Amino acid sequence: MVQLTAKPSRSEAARRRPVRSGRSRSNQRQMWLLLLPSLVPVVVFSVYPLLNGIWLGFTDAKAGYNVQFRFNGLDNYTKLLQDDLFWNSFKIGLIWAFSVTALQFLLALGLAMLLSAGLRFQWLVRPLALVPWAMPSVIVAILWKLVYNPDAGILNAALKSLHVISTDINWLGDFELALPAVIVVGVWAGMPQTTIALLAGLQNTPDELHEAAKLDGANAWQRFLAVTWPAIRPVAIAISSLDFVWNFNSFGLVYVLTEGGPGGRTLLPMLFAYQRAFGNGEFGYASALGNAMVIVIMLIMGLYLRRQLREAI
Amino acid sequence: MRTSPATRTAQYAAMLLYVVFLGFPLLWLVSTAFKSAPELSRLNPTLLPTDWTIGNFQAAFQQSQLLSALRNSLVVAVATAVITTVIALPAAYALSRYKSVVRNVGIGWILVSQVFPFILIVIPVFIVLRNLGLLDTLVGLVLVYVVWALPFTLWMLQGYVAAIPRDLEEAAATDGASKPVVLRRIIFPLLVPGLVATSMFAFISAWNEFFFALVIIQDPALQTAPLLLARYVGAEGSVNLGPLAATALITTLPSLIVFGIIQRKLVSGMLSGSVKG
Amino acid sequence: MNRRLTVTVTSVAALTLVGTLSGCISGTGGPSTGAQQTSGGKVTISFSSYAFQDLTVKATQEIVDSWNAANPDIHVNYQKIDPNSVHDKLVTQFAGNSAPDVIHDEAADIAGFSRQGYLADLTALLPADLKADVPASVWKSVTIDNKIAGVPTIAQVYNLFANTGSLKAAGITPPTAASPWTWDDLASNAKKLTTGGDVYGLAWGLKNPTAGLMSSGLAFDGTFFSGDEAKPTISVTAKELEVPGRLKAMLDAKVMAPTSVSQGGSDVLPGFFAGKYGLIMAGNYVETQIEQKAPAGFSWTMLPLLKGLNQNQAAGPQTLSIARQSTHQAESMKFIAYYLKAENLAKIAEGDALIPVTTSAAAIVKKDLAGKHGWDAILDSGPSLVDAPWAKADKFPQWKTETATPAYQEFLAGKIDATTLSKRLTDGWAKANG
Repeated sequence: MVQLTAKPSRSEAARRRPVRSGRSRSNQRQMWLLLLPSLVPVVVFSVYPLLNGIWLGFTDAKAGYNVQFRFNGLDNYTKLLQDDLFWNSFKIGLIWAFSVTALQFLLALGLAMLLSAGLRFQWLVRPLALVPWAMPSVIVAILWKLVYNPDAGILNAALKSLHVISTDINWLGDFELALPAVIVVGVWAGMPQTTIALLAGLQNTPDELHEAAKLDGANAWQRFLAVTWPAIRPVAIAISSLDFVWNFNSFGLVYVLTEGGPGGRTLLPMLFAYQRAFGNGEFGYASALGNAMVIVIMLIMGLYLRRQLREAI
Repeated sequence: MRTSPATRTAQYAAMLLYVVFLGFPLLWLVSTAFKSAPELSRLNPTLLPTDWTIGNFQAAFQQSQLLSALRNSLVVAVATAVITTVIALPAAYALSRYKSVVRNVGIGWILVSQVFPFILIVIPVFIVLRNLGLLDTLVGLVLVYVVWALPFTLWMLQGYVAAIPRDLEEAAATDGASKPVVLRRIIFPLLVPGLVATSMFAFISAWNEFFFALVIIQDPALQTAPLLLARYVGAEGSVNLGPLAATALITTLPSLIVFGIIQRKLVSGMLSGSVKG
Repeated sequence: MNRRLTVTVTSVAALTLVGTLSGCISGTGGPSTGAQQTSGGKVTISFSSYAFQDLTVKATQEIVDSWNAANPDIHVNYQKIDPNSVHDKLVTQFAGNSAPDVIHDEAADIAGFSRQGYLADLTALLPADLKADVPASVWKSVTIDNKIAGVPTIAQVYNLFANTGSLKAAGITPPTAASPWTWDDLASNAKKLTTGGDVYGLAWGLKNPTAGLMSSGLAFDGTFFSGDEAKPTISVTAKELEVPGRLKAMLDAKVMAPTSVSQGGSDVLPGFFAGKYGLIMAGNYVETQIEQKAPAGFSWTMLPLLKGLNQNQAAGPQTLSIARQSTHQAESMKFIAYYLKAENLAKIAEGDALIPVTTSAAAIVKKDLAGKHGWDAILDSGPSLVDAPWAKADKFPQWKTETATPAYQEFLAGKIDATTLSKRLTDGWAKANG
């Protein structure tokens, strides 16, 4: 109502299509009403803290009792660009995020397809597939530390009994193996949500189309491309992009497993930001690092999503 | 659909590998929970305990806070899942179907909120909660978790909505059905699998969340399960493994059982949904 | 309109849920609501502690309970927290102006908080008898910029734990407090204990190497830093490289387990119990875990502190501080003094298997534990605890995580040599401090 009276009188051309513009206004209103319940908590608990964090990235904010901080423009960023640790952590972060996301997606897709293939024992397998998810992350990290333990670990014991290795391997302590070892844990821990999301997508695939394709003599791979993939595509894009962002921002798991070691080989960007913010109280610098992460990730996502979404819609 | 026996065998073999990869920790957790302290510090651990003990469970329950922690976690996780789903569903529909600046802003926010390091958000959120008088309350925790789970929920749900052909809606609309009827009759049933998936996500992320709970909750009576679990980890990562495993088992099994039930329901619900679609 | 109705219904439902929830919670919220408030002359102070061993938690609870029974006007609210989260939680609470009144932390951590202005200066609040009960060198370790930032409680040393069965088999007599092993003795005895296969003489869980290596280095007068307390200058000489060099030599000679250097402090215990390592070096808190986890019949003892030029180690005691934001500082100090009463602190120290810093509590612990597992020599090491010059340097935590820890890890793994290590440590400090 308010909108109607507030708007200045429209041009002749618009007046000739009153139905249309009226509908778009009512569409607008409908949209806002649909959004409203989410909007309030989001603004208070997410948008405000986010803007606050982004702003801090342009200040010299530090921890301290009644400390005053001031705007310092791009100082943090010039410092950041000269910081070897920052570049190094970014490189590790990208390797980590790409590998974990790709492996996670492929394994989860395979599992989701098995789970919707009408096999028996699904009642048992489905909840088991969620084990990594249902376990609190404290336990997940402790569990994998025990698996990788060089002395008493299950992995070394198993490999030794299979005669794959003869001496104990120090998975999390080795400079070359530490990153692959934590990547495996990352894949394991993140699989359930990807699987569940894809499974829900697969269940929208009409069976009749599969049957039809089969009658046409399409093989499994052709049927996947022609029927399954188009149906799950929007979901696949959504979950893989979110997985990528989450993985890039992963923190707790690697922190408990290696604390960024050995020799900084698993120092993900978040670990670096955490050390600076919580360890040193350099909130300004850490937030600048956060802003840099946002820009890089948004660029990558932009390239990925622009193509995918345009094709999808 | 018929599948050749060879394909079936391969499928079962692949499924078995998945079960081993994903499920072995549960076995390990069960086994650890029933091992005694000396047995746990043995080299070359055995898969099953050599002498079973329930001492770890006794120790876990002696932690007077275990039951209240479980109750708190349950309240928080259920509230988070319900509220998130209820407020995300209309918003996800709006984001997916109304192409406008708002959609772009919404998607932008979802991404930024996930990309910006959450540890840098902790302190502002803490201060907001303090100003609202919600520190050290479960309500405060739930609000944070809802906002925490929303981006994923919205993102996924708008994906599921986008996967529903517009023709379905338009066909119903030309048949004279009003918008709410279309949403309820056509869209909602098709979204059930997606809604189950996302509300499970909200439930689990609230059930397992540690860092916000750590800074928001002080009162021992309001502690959630992850806070209790963390107390079994001591200086330099030394762990009181037996009681920790027992407690972890007690906190993990309920959600797994719930998952099992939901999944079975999901299958039948899904079928009825697709028939209507 | 229908849509609006739907939305309204949804929001009302959500709000009702929140309302119900808050109703249900305020019923069970307990005493923490309004912890800082006074009512009718009654004061409530909050006390966060990271005690985590069962016995210590029990001892802390007993101290709080007996205090609350005897002091109805000053109620203490005990908040438990896990040791790994203390720092993060405090950073947040300080920034949000809602820290507990009495804060259990450690010397290495409170220097930063004190400089940031978050901790009360305890100099004027401290009772004289408490001040006299703790050695001056330990007070020095908690005095930041001439302000006492915390009251020290219990301290840890790094010492050897020996599998006495293995020692006997190798014909080694355990050292005594009067003639402790030197680092040379350690090397030769580790060699004797290395019998081939997977059996090594020594293991040291050095995943976080910096604290242990630097503290042990004080025995060779490896002080690293000198000059200004907040912004000292670094000098890495032969003295500072002594301990890492000797460890590297033992690793190269294969008498020290190579996998142990990337494990956590107590991760080496399974190997120790299995006879795989004759000796392990660890913080003496590991004693409690050995008591709990060792298999029946496993015989072991703690050895006196290793000697270099002397037996010095860094005093990095656990501490009790008072938040500057606290409105009940005097009452808080009364509780701290009660916590440090000899019989109370003795209980805490025995629970954690650490050394009480007060002379009075040390006497009780010594009487209780005389002759057990080499405790006497460890409890006598109080005087060897000296103020570590690095603990109060502003940028030490950053240098530790970003420079020292990775550099030591690379050195012990044989990726870099001593010269490079020295250069990395020096340059890293210049960068952090610059």
